Amino acid sequence: MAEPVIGIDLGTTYSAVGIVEAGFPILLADEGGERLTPSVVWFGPEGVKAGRPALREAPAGRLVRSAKRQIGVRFGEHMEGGLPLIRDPHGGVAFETLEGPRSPVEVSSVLLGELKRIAEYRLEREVRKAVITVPAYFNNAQRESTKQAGEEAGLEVLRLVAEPTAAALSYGMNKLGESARVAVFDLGGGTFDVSILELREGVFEVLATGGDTRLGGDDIDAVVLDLVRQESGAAGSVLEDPEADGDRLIREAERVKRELSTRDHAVFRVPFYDGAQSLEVEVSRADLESGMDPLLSRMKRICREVLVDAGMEPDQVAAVVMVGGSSRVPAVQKLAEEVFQREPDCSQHPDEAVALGASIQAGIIAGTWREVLLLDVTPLSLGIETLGGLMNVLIPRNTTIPCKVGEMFTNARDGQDSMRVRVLQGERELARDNWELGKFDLSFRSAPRGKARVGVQLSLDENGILEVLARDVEGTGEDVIIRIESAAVDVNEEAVEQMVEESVEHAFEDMNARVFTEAQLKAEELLPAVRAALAETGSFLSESEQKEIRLAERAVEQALTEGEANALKGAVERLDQATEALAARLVEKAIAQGSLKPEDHE
Amino acid sequence: MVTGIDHFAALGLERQLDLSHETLRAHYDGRCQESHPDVGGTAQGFDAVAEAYKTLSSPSRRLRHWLELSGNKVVEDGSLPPAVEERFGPVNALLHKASEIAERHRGARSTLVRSLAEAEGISLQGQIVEARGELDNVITEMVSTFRRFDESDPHEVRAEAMELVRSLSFLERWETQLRAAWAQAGCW
Repeated sequence: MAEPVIGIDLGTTYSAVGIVEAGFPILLADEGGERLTPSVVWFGPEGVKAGRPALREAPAGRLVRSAKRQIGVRFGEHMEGGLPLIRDPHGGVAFETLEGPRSPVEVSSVLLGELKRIAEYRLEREVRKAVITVPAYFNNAQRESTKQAGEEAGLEVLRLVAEPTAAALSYGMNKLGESARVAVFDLGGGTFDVSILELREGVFEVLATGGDTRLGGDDIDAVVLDLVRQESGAAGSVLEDPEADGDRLIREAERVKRELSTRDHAVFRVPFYDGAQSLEVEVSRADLESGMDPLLSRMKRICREVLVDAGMEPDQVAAVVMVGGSSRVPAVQKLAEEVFQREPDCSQHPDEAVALGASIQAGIIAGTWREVLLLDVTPLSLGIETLGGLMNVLIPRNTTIPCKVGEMFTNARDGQDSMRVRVLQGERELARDNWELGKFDLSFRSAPRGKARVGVQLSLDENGILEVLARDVEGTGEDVIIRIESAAVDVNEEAVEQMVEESVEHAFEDMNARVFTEAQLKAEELLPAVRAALAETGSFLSESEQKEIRLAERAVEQALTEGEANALKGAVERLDQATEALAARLVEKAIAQGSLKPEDHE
Repeated sequence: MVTGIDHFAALGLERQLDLSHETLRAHYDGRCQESHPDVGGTAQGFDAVAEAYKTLSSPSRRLRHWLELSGNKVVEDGSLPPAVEERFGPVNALLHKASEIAERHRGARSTLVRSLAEAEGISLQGQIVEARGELDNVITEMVSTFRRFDESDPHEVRAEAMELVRSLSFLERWETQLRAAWAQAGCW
């Protein structure tokens, strides 16, 4: 029997492991019969525990959770998460545990080790090879770190596969032979991905993918906590208390979120949080949904961009497959329906589809699953920095991987012996706005200006991981593999310090002056817009609405001359609210006109 | 760059310009199933297939490759061919307008100003769709001459074909840019 290859869904909040057995993908359950393993780790004095054992044994507030959000991330970029984060010597992030700092890679490798153990327990044999899923939108550093975590857990990582692609595989396994385009909407605990795939005879091709590696169910929990904080007034101060049991609050917020998926109201309850008092706050689904608005608009924008990248209209998508635990939230399903103009398909098990797909991909590589081939893409454009600090795209996003591209470099001065090349990943025009993957130095032979020529080949392998090859074209003609210094290892100390200093300074700024300036800017923007909009569409509004706008307008003008910060802020907010209906009508009018056929208007 | 690689042959196709998307796709899929690293192929082998597909799926690149295979080098000087010259202005205006609206939307501090930008973006999207439709028509019309080229000696139609490569590559680029601008004008 061939060596087993397992498929692992390494999730932000839950993980799972599976394999293709007797021609079918199955998930492997732990001793308690559970197929989902909580993605939590505890570093205790007597050893390290992951998953359920960690949940059982760790003392309050000492669990490391959501390590996936920190993997491959540079210190100072995203500071959040349960345990305090500290900067590791290489510029990355580490969790501060009682047993010392632990990197996200270490935490993930402990988790992967637990999944490997579960698989070995079920299969009753050693497991050494795995396919691991990553969010489609993970960049190079995040992918490399995930692969490294697998290797530290004693697993040879044969492939990193994108989560929505894996979900599509498990969705499509019963639909072979059909031709269709499907969208996969994957909202997990910490990450959001949307991919559009085309199923053809035996080939599964990703047409476009997009996402946000910092948008997920955790953020919805945070909205619940925010609502509770607003509602509970003084009693809610427990939520701000750094000594409060964060785990307990997060778990309760998660529970309320789940309950609101099936009910209109739920009660957030923390009994005897300080030994004496209890917190009880009712949260409505409507409040949660309006609090989620900013999250929903981010998802909407990403979906539309992916449609555009795939060159498709919403009605060309045959199915919208919902996966990821947070796809159960009704507002999320409603959003998917609105964007893709069809009822979303919730037939896949939201927490298991990705792991099943990973198992199928493991089966494809192991040769136990032969019906289909997967063609995946790189989610982010890859390029190099040009002289003017711009990003020169060499491999555009959504290019099928593996792929490679060549670029020729030459010496700009006589006798110049080397040149530094920065490799970037991202979609922004300015080099500095993109993620720096790393840099390398090219050496030139001693030659007059423009005569030393070195060809550089950048390639992305089937895992989306970068390799750089250089060839001295005029000289030896030999290929040299260039090691890229990972940017995370080389963060500019000063830059980090400056970031920290700035954020401290910020806190001590004169709050009053800042409030006034912000309100003033908003007022100066709003006043002329109100006049223009009223002139154009004022007739839509009722007399009382118009009157309220005029009154609010006057209040702003007066507050501007008086110069009192809070008064101005209040007046501007009133005007903002008073013009909300007007704003909505303007958009409705544009949509109504836009839906007319071109020949219907001038 | 004149290369020795025949992308038609790489996909098992005859050297023919008049090529439907479906035929191209079917050949590409077949070759992928032989060359992808997952099914025992190599990255290099797969690259050749991917490169061939990329070249042949765009009419301008396909025509250029066809000319190059018969030893006719195509030089692009960046100037606008007369056939598409008049289209540059309107396309450019739409692109600028879209990024200006997106900028305004991003910087907005109030709901009203954001909505004003949104409303403008939505109506601009309509214009972009129309403009893309027009470009598509022109491309289709130009591609319809491919059948005649197939029946001709490449050297005889050389000048005409080269001019067409230049025109098509502009049209294709604008089409891509307009698609992005459409998203920019309305992806809030």
